Amino acid sequence: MLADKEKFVTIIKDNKRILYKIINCYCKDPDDRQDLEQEILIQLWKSLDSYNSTCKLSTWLYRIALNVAISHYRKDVKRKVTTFGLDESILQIADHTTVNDQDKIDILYQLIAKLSSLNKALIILHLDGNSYRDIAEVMGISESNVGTKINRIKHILKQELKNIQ
Amino acid sequence: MELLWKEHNVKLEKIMVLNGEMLKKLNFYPAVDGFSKLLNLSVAGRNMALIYALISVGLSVAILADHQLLLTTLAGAIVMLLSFAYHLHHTAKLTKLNFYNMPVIELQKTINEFKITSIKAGKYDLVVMIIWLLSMVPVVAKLWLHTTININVPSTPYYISAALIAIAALLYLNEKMYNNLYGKKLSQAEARLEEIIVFEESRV
Repeated sequence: MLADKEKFVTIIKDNKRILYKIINCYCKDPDDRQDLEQEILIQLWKSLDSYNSTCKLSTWLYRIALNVAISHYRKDVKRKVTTFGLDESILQIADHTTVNDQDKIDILYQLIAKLSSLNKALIILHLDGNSYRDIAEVMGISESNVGTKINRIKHILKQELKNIQ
Repeated sequence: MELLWKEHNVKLEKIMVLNGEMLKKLNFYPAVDGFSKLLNLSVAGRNMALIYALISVGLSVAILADHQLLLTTLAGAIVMLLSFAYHLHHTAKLTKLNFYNMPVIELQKTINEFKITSIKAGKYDLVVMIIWLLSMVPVVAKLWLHTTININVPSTPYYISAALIAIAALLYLNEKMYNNLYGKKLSQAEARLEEIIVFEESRV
């Protein structure tokens, strides 16, 4: 149990940036963000035993985090009570001003937020540097379809960026 | 965009802190996530149908000699058993689901199909419950209130007409209540499923 928790903390520590980006793209409201963070962590913890080392850790993690984020994003009723009753985030930003100063990345986050939940998942996976094959495996669509869709999303985002500039 | 995202990634590595101690202290087991809530609700409904059926069967034993009453009570049990079997089939598919070994599209599609079936089943669950409660009235009256309610087979046109009007009124009220309670949820889930299917099949 203790060893499991150590392993879990290590996995989260190594992949905290992926989780942060997914949560940030799917949730605008800070309370909602914390709620989503906790729901993703619960699912990751519950699925830890099922993790099979023959499958890539990133595929396992992306699938869980994105599936939870998409389901959470679709919730009809906004939940205000957090699952653990915690008032603190586990994934924390040490210096908020550093992030907020980055206007460009903020704009990119805003543009991604406008996409549909499934397109959001595709672009996050692509920007994180995953291959089309890995993206296809996480999403469950063909590699060629991934390529076509990503080009289309990039085109939309570029147009939006041009309009802003 | 890719470059901007990479720079952001590097920056995040420097400024992000994981509250590992808090993570270790957390007791995850009692926590229930949204997915489990949906499933648990359905499983609870399914099990309740079995309990109601067992109550009917149990009470039937106490009135074995009264054939007319026995038939009414057993009819209630059969209706509940059918509801249980339907929900058993419906939830069996979802208990095999998990967030880790299913691709995003497949899982989201299954969750939305489940939602749609659950919402649609809700329409009949209320009717099933009313039928079961009505089937229980004579047996409860006899066993606890020691009153006999005569159940006559509705053979005359008067009885048939009255029964048809009552059924039509029940279905009308049920439909109206259902639309008010679940109409919006159903159309949202259907629209969502359509969106996923379009995403899966389209090439743009």
